[in-house]
Amino acid sequence: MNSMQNRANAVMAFSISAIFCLLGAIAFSALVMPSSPAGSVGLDSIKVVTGRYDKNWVDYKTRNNEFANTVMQIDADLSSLFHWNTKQLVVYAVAEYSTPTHPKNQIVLWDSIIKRKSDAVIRKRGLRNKYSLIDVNKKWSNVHANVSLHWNIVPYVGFMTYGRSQPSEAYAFPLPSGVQT
Amino acid sequence: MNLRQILTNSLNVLMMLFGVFMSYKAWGLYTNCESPLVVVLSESMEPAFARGDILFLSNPKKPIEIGEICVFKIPGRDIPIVHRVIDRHDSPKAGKQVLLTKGDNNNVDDRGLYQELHRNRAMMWIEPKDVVGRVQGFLPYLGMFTIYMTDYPLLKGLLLAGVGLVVFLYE
Repeated sequence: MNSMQNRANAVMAFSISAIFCLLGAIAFSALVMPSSPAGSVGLDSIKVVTGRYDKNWVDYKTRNNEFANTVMQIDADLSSLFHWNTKQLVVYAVAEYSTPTHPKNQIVLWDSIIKRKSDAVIRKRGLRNKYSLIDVNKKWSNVHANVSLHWNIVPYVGFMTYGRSQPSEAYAFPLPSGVQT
Repeated sequence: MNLRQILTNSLNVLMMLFGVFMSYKAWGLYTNCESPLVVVLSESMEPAFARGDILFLSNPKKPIEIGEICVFKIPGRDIPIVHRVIDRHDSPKAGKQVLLTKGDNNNVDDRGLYQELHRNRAMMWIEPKDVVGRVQGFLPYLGMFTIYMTDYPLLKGLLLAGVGLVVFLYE
């Protein structure tokens, strides 16, 4: 009846279900934790240059591909997103626009991984885009883009959740003025 | 220990194994994903995902968003890759998108990976048809079991021997 094997089995089974109940409770608690994130991105300038290679030296084969270079400013306070189930935040600034061939386009301009609550207040000035800003059609004529700040909360255990700030005003891309070095 | 007992035990073990397999497949149908659980094998998404973490995938109908983490296969290569979407361009046709991905821990985007095979040398984007799942949830460490089992086949043998013992000795 109450053999050693039975007792060991019962202890194992109970501790495994207890651990998974606790993990489930932690995972779901993250969904209802109150937070008040705030953020904004603005562009100080956009310059369009032509070139053959992007920032990662990917070859676009011809010389007239239009790359945009932007200068951004970012203000954000995401510290309220850090709770007991936040392992890290991934914060990324996104340019969004539409063209006749592609109604919705989004390109990440800059990103950052935040691991501590004390680093979650962001204030950047004169920030240049980290990734190449080039359209799928490789031209920027008549395009207006807005920028916004997005974030992804990576949990210790549980659900991946996402959020974003209000989009900025729409900025027009100028004509190409120069050749990329 | 008679034959009847051994047969009952084997039946119980088989019931458990098939039960797990059936619920896994049913879950795959529900999430629209062939393998709704994957174990992370590389360090390219550190510090979000480490080697041995388990990811829960699904494949909803809605378009893939920027910043989402996708599991995709490059045409001609078998090993699936888990990386974050950093560019998306949607066509007017529903479900038509082109995507660019990058690992959080890598310095450059994935175009080098896409173009590694000669047949893909002009490949600039991946498409939703290359995406096998989108990461929805995360459970750390537990996938280390499967990594240990593929790294040390002896462990797999021991586990099977344990199951055998249960079949023949449990009363």
